Amino acid sequence: MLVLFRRFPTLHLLFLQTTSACPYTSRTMKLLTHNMLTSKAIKGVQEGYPLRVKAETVEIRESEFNKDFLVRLLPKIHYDALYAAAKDAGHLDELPGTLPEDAASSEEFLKKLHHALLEVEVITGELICPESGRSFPVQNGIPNMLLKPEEIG
Amino acid sequence: MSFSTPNTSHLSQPRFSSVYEPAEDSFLFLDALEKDWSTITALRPALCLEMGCGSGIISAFVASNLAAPCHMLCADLNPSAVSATAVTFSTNPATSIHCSWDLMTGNLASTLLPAAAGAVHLILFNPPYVVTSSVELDEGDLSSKAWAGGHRGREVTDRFFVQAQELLAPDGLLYCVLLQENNLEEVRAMMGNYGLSMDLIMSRRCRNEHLHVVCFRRKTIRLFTHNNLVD
Repeated sequence: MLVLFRRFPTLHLLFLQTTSACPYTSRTMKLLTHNMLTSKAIKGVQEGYPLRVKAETVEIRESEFNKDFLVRLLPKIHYDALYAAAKDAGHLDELPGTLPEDAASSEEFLKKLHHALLEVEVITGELICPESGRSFPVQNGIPNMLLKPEEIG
Repeated sequence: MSFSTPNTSHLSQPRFSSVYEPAEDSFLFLDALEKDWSTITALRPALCLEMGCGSGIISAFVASNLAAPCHMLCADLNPSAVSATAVTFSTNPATSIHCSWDLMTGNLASTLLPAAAGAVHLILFNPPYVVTSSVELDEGDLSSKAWAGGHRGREVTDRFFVQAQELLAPDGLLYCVLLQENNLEEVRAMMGNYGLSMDLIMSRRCRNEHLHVVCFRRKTIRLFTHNNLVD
């Protein structure tokens, strides 16, 4: 790659143009982000969590596993919500139904957690409030969580 | 280490006309984060939220310079700003060396609570702080919502501070830009009631604005209890 750049110094411009011409094609939403989203703000909704995932397009993208990072994320994760989302997305991929007791020390489990949180990515679909049925569209990996003033409780 | 400012030249494209272009306040924010960088790295943030990401320059700067993995969520009310942030991250490849990042369109953090309560290690907030009338804030278009702060420039900040103190992890940090007219001492007192202390990181006069970057963090449990008793 570097050799190519040396030979064609303006090659990177091609990449830049590609990126700015279609910047959305590569956008995805990770289930880690889904784990942080709720519809509780909607009038009349008690829990609004977890949002159901109705995924039209899902992509699996490998990323580097970092144990310390996962250990630090672990206490911030709502495991049941992650499990439900991975199931909804059709990618349980060996994720256990309950959080193992030795979660923070089991590298085998942390790798599965890493996969579910950071590698299962929703490109297009909907997030649906489990109580009101309100749908939040996900397009180009961007969830639209905007609520109208009259919807807010 | 050397810090580079992310490239945001795509902001000149017409489709991003409603997005706030990086200005003096943005650069002051970057300088303040750079000054406080050792505190940020010592925190080892795993979850970071930028509220009102605009061009995305602040998040991209942080993502490019962190040396350990972090997941960043960049949120804005303006869908064009969210798209601009996507381009900013894509055109600054250093943002993706260690960090993962997602985007969200939303009204402040109303759809993050209580799911992400106590979860966010690092919150970045360059708010609409300009003093305007409440009417100007309510009736303005998307581009004016990037700067119009309503009464004393505090209407949006105060709303987000209530959410931010809930989102903040016990060891978390909240960095925010404020204007002299926002009344820093009053903000300090207000956040003190939530058990947060405020440090002034950097101040600068930029044309007609006297700007400050402050950092909030939780006081120790003892102080927090003491504060509640006083209240």
